[in-house]
Parts: sequence; C-alpha cells; structure tokens
Amino acid sequence: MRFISALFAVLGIAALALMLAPQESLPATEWYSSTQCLDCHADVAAEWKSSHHAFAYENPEVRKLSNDFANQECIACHAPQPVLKFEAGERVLARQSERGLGVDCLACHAVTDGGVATNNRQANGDAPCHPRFVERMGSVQLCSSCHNQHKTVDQWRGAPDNLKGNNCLGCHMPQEFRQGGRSGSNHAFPASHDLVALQSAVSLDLKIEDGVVRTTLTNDGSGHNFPTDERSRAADLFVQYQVDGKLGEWQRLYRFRDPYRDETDLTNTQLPSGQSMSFDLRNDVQSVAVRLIYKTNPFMSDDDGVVVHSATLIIDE
Amino acid sequence: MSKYLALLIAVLAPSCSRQNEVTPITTLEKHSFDEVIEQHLTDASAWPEFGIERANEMIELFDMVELGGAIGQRAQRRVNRLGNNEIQHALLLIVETDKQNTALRRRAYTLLANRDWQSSNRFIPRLTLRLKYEKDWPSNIIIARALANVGSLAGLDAVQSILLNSSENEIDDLDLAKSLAAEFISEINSGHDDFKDNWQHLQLLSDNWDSVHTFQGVKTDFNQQYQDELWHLVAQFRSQPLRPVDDARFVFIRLEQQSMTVLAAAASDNNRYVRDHCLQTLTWMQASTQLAYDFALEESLEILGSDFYSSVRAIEYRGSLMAESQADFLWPFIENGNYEQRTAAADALLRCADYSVARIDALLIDQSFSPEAQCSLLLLRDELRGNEIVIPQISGLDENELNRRLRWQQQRQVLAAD
Repeated sequence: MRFISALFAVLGIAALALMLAPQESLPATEWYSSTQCLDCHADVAAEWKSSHHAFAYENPEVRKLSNDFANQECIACHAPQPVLKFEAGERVLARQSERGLGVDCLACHAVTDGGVATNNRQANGDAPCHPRFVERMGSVQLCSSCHNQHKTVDQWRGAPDNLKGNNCLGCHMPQEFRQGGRSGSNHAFPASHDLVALQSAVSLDLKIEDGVVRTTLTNDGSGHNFPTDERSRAADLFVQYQVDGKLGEWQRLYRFRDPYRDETDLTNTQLPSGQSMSFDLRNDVQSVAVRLIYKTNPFMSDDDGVVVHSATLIIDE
Repeated sequence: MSKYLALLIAVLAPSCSRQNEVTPITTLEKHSFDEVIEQHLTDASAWPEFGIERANEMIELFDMVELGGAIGQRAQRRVNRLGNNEIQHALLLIVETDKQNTALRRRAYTLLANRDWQSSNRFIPRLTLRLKYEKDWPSNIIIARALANVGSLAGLDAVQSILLNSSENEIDDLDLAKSLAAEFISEINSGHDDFKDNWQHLQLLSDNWDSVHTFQGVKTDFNQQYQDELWHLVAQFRSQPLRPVDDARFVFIRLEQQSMTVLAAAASDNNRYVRDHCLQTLTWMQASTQLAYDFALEESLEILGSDFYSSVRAIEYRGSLMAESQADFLWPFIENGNYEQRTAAADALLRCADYSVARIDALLIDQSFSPEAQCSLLLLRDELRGNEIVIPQISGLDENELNRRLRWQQQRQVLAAD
C-alpha cells in the first residue's frame, strides 16, 4: 500500500513538473505571410515572381481596367485571402495585408488552421511548414474560385474530353525539373502572357479550297474558350491583300472576345474549345496575308498586341 | 485507492490535453435571415410576371393618352385600371432590356419621373441601379429627377458631372443633358431661375446627402414593398458570380438612410458573404455609417469582432466611423490579433486617431506587422508627435496602399477641422 502511495506521489510530482515546466515552443504552424516561404522555396518563389499571379495587384492594366480598384470587387481575386478558407469552388474575399504580393503563396497553400497544403502526396511532413496533402490543391475547384468569375472553368467543363486534360494544372502548371534535379509544378503559370502557350492554344490556317481563299482559326489546343476571360482579353484576326504589287492596309476581319457587363449591345464572340471559325477572303489579288493578334486589354493598339500566328498565301505571281 | 486514482487523473489530465488546439472557428451566434429573405422574395407583392412585349404595349398606351380625344380617353381608362406595380415593372423592364432604342428609354424614364407614385416606391432600388448601367446622359438626368421625386438624391452625382463637363465631342446629346440638368436643379430649388443660386443649392443638397443620406424635401416611405426590395439586394450578396454582389453594393450605398437598418441587421447573417458585404458596404458609406452604428450595429460589432471570418471587416467598419471613441475596441486587435486583424486594426486606428504615442512607439518595435500596418502606425505616430508627415519607406508596400492611407489620414483631419 505504501509502495502504491509512493508511486502515485512520484507520478503526480512528475506530472506537475511536466505542467509547470516551460512549454517547448510549438512548431511554427501559423503561416501568415508569403515572405516566410522564401527562405526554403527560393526557386519556386522565383518562378512565381515572374508570373502574373505575383503581378496581380500592381499590374497597370488591371489598375486601368478596374479604375484603380475603385471597382473594389476586383480586389478579391487580385489580393485574395487563402482559397482554402472557403468552400470548394466558392469565391474568395479580399485580404487586408500585403496586397502588393497579389495572388501569393498563401492564397493557394494556406489552410484555415494556419498550416500549409500541398498537392504532393509524398509531402515531407517534417519540413518546417509541415505541408500536408490536400486533395483540393490539384483540383479545378481551387482555381475556379477566381477563374470562374470570368467563366473559364465553366468553359472547361463544356470542352471536348481530348482537350480538357486532367485539369487546369496540366497546361498552366506543367512539371519541371529544378536545380538539384527535383521536379515540381511550374509556378510561373504560363498562359496568355506566354507566347508559346498562346501559340499552342489555337492554330491558324490559310489556303485555297475549291477556288475559295479561306482562313480558319481553330481552338485545338486549349480546354476553354479562346480567348478566355471576360472583358479583359481580345484576339483580333486581320487580313492584308496585295493588289497590283502594292500591299494594302491590315483590315480587321473579326474580334474574338466576351464583352463585359454593361456592354450588353455586344455579343460573345469567343471561340469555344474544339471549334473552328472560317472566313472567306478575296481571291482577285496577288497575295493574301492573315495574322492573329492577341491583346491582354481590348483597348490596346494593334501594335501593342502580340502576333500569335500569321500566314501568307501567294495567289497569282 | 480510488481517491489516489482520481487525484492522478486530475493531475495528469491537463498535461495530456493537446497544446495546439485550434481556436474554435467562430463564436458568433448568427442569425439566419434565409427565411426573412425568402419571405420577402416570395411575398405576394412581388413584381408582376410579364415580359417586354406587354411592357411595350403599356408604353404605347401612355402614348395614346397623350393623343387626347376619344382615343386618349379610352387609353386613360385602361391606364387607370393598371396598378402602380404593373406600370413600374413595365417601365423598368424597358429601360433594363432595350439597349438600342434610346428615345424609348428616355420616354420610360420620363414616365417614371412624372407620375405621382404616392407611397408606392419599391422601384427606387431598381431605378438606382440604372445609374450604373445607363449610358445615355439625358436619361441619367431624368433618372435623377425621378429619384428626387421619391426622396432619393442618388442621381445628383450624374447631374453635377454633366453640368461640369465640357468635353462636348465625347458625349452624345450633351447640350440636351445640360439643359435638362439646369431645369432639374431649378426645380429642386423651388423653381428659382438663377443658375448660380441653383448650383450652390445643389452643392448643399449633395453634401447633406453624402453625409446623412436624407433629402429634406421628400422622405422615402420605408414600407413593406420597399423593404422587400432591400432584402432582395441582401440576397444578392450570397451570389457566387460577383456582378449581382456589386450591383447590390452599388444600390445600397446610394439609398436613403433607413435602408442602412437592413444592412445593419443582415451584418449578423449566418452566411459569411452576406456578413462581409454588409459590413463592407457600410464601410464604404463612410461618415454616414455612424447612423447605421447608432441604429443597430453596436451590439453586433462586439460579437462580430470575435468571429473568425468577419472580425477583419468589423474592425474595418469601426475605422470608417473615424471616431476616437473606437480606439479602445481596436487596441486588443492590434496587440493580440492575428496578422490580418492587426492590419485592419492599425488601419482603423489611423482613421480614428488615438493619442497614445508611447503605445504606438512600443508597437513599432515589433517587426511582425504587415507593410500596410506599419505604414498606418508610422503615419499616425508622426502626426501625433506633430512631425511633418514623411512618406514612410516600407519594403513590400504597394504605392496605392500608401496613397489610401494618406487619404484616410487627410479625411479624418478634414472632418476634425469641420
């Protein structure tokens, strides 16, 4: 009996000592600023820095189109709170701090309890940020919170299966080998600001068919409309004829674009995934040239746009 | 034996509890306004269900009335049988859907402006939204007149813009718009014909509207149908596409002051988007939000401050009150809040001002504030010390964020000087 009493006393004292001893500081599980990520993930951060996610809040085009964010609804996606704080697919709300970082690391990776989420099933839980695999990280729903505001994800859902890929990540976060041989998802998010990505989205054809000169634009490389996004993007198809040895002016044949809110007098002319659009051209000329110019802002001059594809056809030498 | 065991369990239990338990997500006892909203939406007094064809027929009827004679009388008898709801809906349907026919829209707006609606004013929110989408300037003046007739001066901005505009090449029918605007400002100044006098009167009305959202001439009847419309707007805050949200915010910040009671009530809705946008809208109303605070919000704010999702907006709202009395509520968040709360609270402190320089100095030793929070605290400290404002050089601070804070500081100083 005495032995049992002594045992309890020892255990009790040990427990008390455990309680009163200074607590070892908890692992830093609260990640509140994306600047905390830089030390360990410099290579990923460098990719992100070159992306338009990093530029989302300071981008002068966005500033102009949002009337310097007087249209405050735009801030929510250009400086969002962590997407994972919201239900899957639901829209995000604006954050208060570090807006200059735009769509930053925490916008996609932070979890409500202060931890960090990853799409990597073999996540190294021993790393200082204790990343844990979260299924939603690799899903369309993660992107849709913002990108479906301008209908891109809805367009993807309606796209032909062969163009859909697995999800957004297939095209916009391709796997890359970084320094040291580690592979990972590209955080530069190649898209409309990347000429290679643009060129792979559509093809432009110019030929004579049954005596008719015809140019065709086909959306055969993207899993959403071309150009996707509402208001901000436009793709203009131009034609130029050569007559009597003289090259004429470039003339706009067609504008591919989804108009914005109050532009209710315009119709949506985007080219859906998997579809083509053809235009018959003059054949009483010496040559025909076509070119497709992509504009990240519909009010941009032709010279400021990017020539995605061009083609020339000599008809009569 | 059992007492030893109990003692052991009692002693060991606390040390075995998880040290890193996550704080409960929310402590807010929210109200569900779902039923209220549904009731308002499905209320018997909902808008009539007819399409644009019927609306066009109705406007033709009004044209026939103006022909006079037997045809006019017959048409008048048919008009008399129509309810205000039907007429308002028809006219609004025309202006909302017919984008090509400017003359027809002007006609519809004019009919809305000229008719005596008595207490039937549920069309105010829908008509207010036209100020966002209507591109025809003369129509904007007619909208302003129609709204003023029922106690809303939401259209005064458009009137002022037109009268100040000199870029004649860029605006269709600018002369007509200016003449309608001049007529309108005479009308609301009891028919005076001195333009300078009318313009000054307009400025006074506009300033008053901006600060208290009331028009002394006519008071909006806050009747059931009008409230149905307001709750309809609250329901739009739940929308996932942003356009309905933005439309609702646009309208709310242009409504008369009693409308704020709906926003203040719905700020404790169980839907986080509704809470967020109600508080955000009240914040945007700036000085006039003091009214909403007085109405109903004080108690809710106390609770919202501890809500995981809404606390930042609640803090931001307190800042918009620009009242020193709010500082006591802000300090706990600055000193013990999370990163977002600290930013919001530092910003709010800059807007409200607090005279504890030493306390702010102590805070600035802590380097874990966001660039935005550091900026607010530095600006406030320099001001309190009586130093000339030096633009703080803070790494990671967006230039526009700096400008916003300078603007807030200036707004408060102007308010204090008044």
